[in-house]
Amino acid sequence: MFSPELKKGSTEMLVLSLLEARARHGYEIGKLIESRSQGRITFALPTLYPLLLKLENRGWIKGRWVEKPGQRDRCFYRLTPEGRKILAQQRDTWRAFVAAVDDVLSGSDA
Amino acid sequence: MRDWQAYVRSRLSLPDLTPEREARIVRELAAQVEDCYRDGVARGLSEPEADAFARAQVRDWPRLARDVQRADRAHLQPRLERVANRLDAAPGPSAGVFQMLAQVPLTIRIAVRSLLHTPGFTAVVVLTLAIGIGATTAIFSVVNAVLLNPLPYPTADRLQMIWVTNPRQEIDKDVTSYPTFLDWQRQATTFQAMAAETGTNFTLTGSGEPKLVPGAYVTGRYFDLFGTPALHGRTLQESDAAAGRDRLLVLGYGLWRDHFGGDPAVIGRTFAVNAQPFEIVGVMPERFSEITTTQAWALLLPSGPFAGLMQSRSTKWLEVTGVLQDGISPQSAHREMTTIMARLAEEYSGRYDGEGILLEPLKDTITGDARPTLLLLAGVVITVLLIVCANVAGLLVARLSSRRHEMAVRVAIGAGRGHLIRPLLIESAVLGAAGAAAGLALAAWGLRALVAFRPANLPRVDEIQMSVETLAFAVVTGLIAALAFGLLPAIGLLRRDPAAGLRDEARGSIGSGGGSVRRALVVAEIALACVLVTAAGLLVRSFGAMQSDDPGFERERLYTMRLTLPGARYPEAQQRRAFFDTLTERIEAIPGVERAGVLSSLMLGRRTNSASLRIEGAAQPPPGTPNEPVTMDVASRSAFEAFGVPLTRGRLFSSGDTPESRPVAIVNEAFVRRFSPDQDPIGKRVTFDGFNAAEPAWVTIVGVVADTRRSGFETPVRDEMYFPLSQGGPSSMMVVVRTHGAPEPIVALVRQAVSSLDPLLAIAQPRTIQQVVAGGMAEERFRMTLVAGFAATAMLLAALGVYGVMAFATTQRRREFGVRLALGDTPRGVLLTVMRDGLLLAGVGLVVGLAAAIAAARAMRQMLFGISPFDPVTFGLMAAALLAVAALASFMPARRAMKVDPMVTLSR
Repeated sequence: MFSPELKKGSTEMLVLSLLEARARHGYEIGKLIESRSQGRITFALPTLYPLLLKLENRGWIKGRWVEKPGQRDRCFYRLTPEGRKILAQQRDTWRAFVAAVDDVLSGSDA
Repeated sequence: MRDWQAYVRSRLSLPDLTPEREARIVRELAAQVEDCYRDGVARGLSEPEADAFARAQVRDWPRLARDVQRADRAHLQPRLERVANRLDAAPGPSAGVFQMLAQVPLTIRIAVRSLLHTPGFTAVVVLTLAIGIGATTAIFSVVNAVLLNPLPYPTADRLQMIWVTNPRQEIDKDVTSYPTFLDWQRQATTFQAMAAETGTNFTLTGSGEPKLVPGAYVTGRYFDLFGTPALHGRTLQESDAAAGRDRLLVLGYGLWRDHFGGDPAVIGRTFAVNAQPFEIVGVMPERFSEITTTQAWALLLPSGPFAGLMQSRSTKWLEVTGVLQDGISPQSAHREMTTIMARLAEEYSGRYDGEGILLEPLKDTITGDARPTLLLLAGVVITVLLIVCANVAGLLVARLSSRRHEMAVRVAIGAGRGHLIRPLLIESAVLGAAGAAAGLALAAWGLRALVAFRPANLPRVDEIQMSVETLAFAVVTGLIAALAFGLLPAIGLLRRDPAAGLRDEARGSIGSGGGSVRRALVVAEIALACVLVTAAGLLVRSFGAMQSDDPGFERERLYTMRLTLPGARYPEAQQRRAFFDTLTERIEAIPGVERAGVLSSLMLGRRTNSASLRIEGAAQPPPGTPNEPVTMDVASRSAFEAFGVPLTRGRLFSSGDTPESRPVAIVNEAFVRRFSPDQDPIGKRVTFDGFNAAEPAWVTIVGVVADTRRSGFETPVRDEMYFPLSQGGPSSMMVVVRTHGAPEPIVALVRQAVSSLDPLLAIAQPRTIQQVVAGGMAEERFRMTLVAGFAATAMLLAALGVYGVMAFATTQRRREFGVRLALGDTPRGVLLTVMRDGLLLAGVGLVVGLAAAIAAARAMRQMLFGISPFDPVTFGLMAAALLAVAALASFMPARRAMKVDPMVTLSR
């Protein structure tokens, strides 16, 4: 019922959800995951960056170079409308998965 | 802080992605690593510590590159480019030959694909190369087999023909007498063996229809010359000659296969040859027989038909061949033979005056006639090959210049020169190989056509085949042509500043397109075409002159054949005369026959019966005066009327000319012009016995007939004397039948007339006069057709060259034309500008080519009939034709130039 891609999908979901509120650059995404998970989840650059490219290739996110005065040029990624749809689906799937796992775990005696 | 972008670029290689994408990824990763570094510094790390921290973010760069390329599929380059880039990224030649070799198949695949992208260009180049290589290979296969390959005998390089010369009489090659030959054989030490032969026709009867076979009587050591053993049985030997065995026959392979069914059991059997029983003792192998037309050999012995001739020291009739002793040079053999001749001259005073010796390699004797034609063709195909190379070079230069921008970009982003040149070279090699392959197919086909279409006198035809040498020649030619011309433009490209290429592109210009190189190539092409067209023109005009020339005899309503009466059944001259007289009567009785006669020879070969004569009352010429021999023939009473040769003075032979009456002769006009230009020749007496004879036999001239071109069109008319059949009685005569209508319907009736008289008689060379004349001109037709074909090809290629250059130049000058039209120039003015350019190229080529054409024409002098080698009509037409072709080739681009829309052109 739940695809074996689930775990991989969860990484994708993490990135997509971080971009839901606003556009962020690659390093920022990595740092955010680390800080929000209080260091429990870390993505090294070699893992995260190809993922960003993959998501961009699928058309879920879009990178754009932004020049801000006084700052270095950075590539900011934002969610595309399709990415938004995918994120909603993945959230639903994730919640269903977590609920199912919960049911299984809590009903272990029944 | 380090330059992170440089750091990342030096570690991350993304050859499969587009360069733009690669640049973006490098930039972004550098930014992230730099963020990391700055983060580290902000958290209080020292700069080196922060640097190390940042660098530690990525430990496995190749893996990252792989993951990135896998993730970023949308930005992959086309597959072809990816492969090419990988090649470029690979270490250069310094990394080892093996690596380079390992890349070759891949590079070839890339080259093939790249060529298939431009199918038109590729087809034209391959086709052009195929024409050049194919023609060259075909002709050189023939040259190789006929002129270059040694004869197929173990002793081939030591075989020499021994000719008699007489510079005083302008005789450069003559046969010799039997006693002279015996003296040579006895005295010469430089020759391992020597043999004499005389050609003849043997009539074979007893198995099927009587068959006339070209054969030869040879002396005892003849087969020792060649060192080739018989295929079956044995050859004729000196011991046979010593024992006087004159009824032995050796067969040629072809005769044995065709007439005797290739049955080895014929050895030892007896057949009727010239109505006498001959025992077949051997069959020669195929390769031995294919050199000559001779198909049967018998021993030349005093007991045979030549007993009388063999006594005479003054009658020359034998061809002598010798095989040199091992290690003896032809020069020392020549010295010895000259000494022997001097000794003979002393011994037989007066007999050998002025005579010398000419040694000629047997191969040259056999191939002599074909040599000029083959050398002409070799020259012609090499010229075609040069034009082909020029054309291919032009095309490659043009292709390269259209890729100049691509090259400039590649140089700009750091491609090495080797990386630029290697694919070009491989592309050229692929083109060359394809051209060579196609050319070889063309050559195989052309060779078959050549052999089918050859003139009858081309020797060694059976040896012609596509040889390994020729194959190598074709492939090497193709590769060299393509590599040389692939490299030439590439070098030009490298010398140029790549940035210039980019700037040109930005301005919308196409670049010079190797303009000056291509122009020079086109000029060369036109010059070469000029030579070929001139040669073809001269041959065509010469052939036309030949065909319209009056040969002096009937050319349409004639049927001829040769009959040879076997000496055994017709031993007496009287019997032979009676046979031909009766035959003439019977043939003339056939309805549709107008007149019939017999003549000892119809068309005259290079060597015919001839003798030096003296006119009664003429002063003895001072010694050393050249004394041209007179050609002698025997004719029946009706022969001249049948052959269509008009009498101009005196009378024809009559029934009153008998063996008992005074000897008479008829001469031709050429004879009169030389010997009796001011006086009436009728009644004059001539003799062949020389000035010292005590009682010369006088012959009275009774008539003069018109000249005929019986000796071929390229040689002047000979002085001829005809003797009456009624006073002689040769055994071999041409029967000449003149018909009212076309000769073909009466052929069967004429054959019937012959077999009604003698059913055992073989009919040889049965032909209509058209066939005879066409046969006489076969060689001219052969070389004219071939040279004309090649000249047309050359012209087409030159036209393509002009078109290519003009079309390119016109595209290049679009803006200029646009400006001119905008400023008020007329389309006509633009058209004329382009046309003038094209014609200028042709003009320069023409001037250069004219000099070469004159030299070529001079070399062809011997092959021309009835026109000067500098025939103004030919040269005029050649120039006009080439200019017309050039004009046409530049008209098409010119018309496009004229239609340039200034608005469109200028706004671009």
